[in-house]
Amino acid sequence: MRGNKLAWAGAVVLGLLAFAAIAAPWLAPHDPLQSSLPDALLGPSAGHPLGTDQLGRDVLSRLLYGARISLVIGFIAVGIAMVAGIAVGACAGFFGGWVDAVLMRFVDTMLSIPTIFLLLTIIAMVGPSIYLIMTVIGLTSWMGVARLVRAEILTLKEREFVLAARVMGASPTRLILRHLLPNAMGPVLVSATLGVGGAILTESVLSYLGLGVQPPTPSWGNILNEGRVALGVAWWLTVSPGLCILVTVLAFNLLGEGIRERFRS
Amino acid sequence: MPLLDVRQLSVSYHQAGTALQAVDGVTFSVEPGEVLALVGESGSGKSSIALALTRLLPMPPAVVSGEVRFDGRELLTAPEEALRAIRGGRIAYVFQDPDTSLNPVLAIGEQLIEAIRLHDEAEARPAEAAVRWLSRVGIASAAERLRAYPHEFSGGMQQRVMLAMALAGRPALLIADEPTTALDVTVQLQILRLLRDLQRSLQLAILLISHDLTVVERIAHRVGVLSAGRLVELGPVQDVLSRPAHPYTRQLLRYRSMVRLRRPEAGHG
Repeated sequence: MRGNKLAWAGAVVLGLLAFAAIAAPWLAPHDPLQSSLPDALLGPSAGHPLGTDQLGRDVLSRLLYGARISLVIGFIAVGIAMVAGIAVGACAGFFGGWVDAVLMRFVDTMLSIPTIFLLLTIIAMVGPSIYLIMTVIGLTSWMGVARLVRAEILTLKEREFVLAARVMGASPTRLILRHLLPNAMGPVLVSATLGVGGAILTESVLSYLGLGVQPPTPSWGNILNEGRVALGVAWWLTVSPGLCILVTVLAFNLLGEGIRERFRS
Repeated sequence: MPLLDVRQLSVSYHQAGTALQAVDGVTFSVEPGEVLALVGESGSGKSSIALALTRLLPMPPAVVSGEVRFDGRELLTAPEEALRAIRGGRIAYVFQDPDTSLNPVLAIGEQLIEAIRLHDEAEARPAEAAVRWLSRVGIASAAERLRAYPHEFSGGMQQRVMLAMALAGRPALLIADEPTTALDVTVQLQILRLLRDLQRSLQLAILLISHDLTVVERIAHRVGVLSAGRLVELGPVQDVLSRPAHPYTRQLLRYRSMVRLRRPEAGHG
């Protein structure tokens, strides 16, 4: 029951967040890109509930627009990871033999490359853009899903309903897509939920290092980065995006754990 | 010409350097509309034969040799696509455990409609055909039941659904591997009756795999007795059961009479 309540809390937080992101143009009190130097580094007040940054931009408005970027990157990166991981895992688990051996050694190889350096190298070479970030995060985080799906398929394919589908003349594609994967979706859903939190975190790290979402477009990571230099005089610049990241990732983790508990019982 | 003609079928399982001979040179045939039962205890190779016929055994570790002619066509060397069309279309299967044979995440109707679509492309209204098949196997208010999930059905009803799925492809041969073993005694009788009625009305040939001579006696025309992978006796049911020629068959019959003494109600009805 307690786990369930926490999962619901996570879901409610994420619902509010999604609403805030979608409704950002109506909710934001100011234009997130509008700078006004006389208003720089104002503390929280009625006009600027979370204060302003060095260029006098409203922090709350920037956070609201940043939520859009962070959530979109999180979901799309995880979407890419899911598609890649499910495809690799399903093929490895279903076909077995050398297909399995080759695919799983590829997974091992990918897992042994330190992701953050790979990300930094690729972005440094190609130049930062939102699309590149989503793709690269997705393509470096599918291996866990692949292993998970492979393990599920390995146990599921011994079940009798798979044999029953085979004796009805179902093709391998049909067996995988219709009979095996739908039965493997529970753990995948858990992993996807946890993955969105992870992807948002990675995006924040990249943006914090200046290789993620580029200013003036706001993202939680780069707001945090810009606030870093004024940490001594304007705590609200770093605390508010930091809390946003913390709460969002926590909410995704709680929801993921809650879904896992549901599937376990 | 027999519908199914099996000659010198052998199945062995190879693993880690050792080979286990599960089926050893078995020869039999099934005529159109005939019910042939294969009996034998666990491990006698019954289920290996059932699966080997349409090449459903994982190979490796299984090694299958011999000839399997169905409708004059050799199955053991046929390409996989041709076999997929035959499986479920011309040769259908029903297994022992209906509870695990149905996909738990798909509704009954979806699974039945899939079976119909796979093999009856001419069927313009598969949903209506699904309702017809469910009614035909004796499921009441079939139209509402289409949306139910397997766990909402009892074992007997699940096996009826499996039968409907098997027959939806309009097969000439049904391979029924212990179709009543997992069911309660009373439900066993209902399913057997249903199977016999369907067999008669559809002129279906059935290869019935069973360890239960009572089941065999009720429905089969001929019976083959398997012992340690060999077919030790084959003939009309009445002859084999009343004048068993092989010592193993006599032993099977003796065990049955022992069980009958303890459970007299199971033998009659």
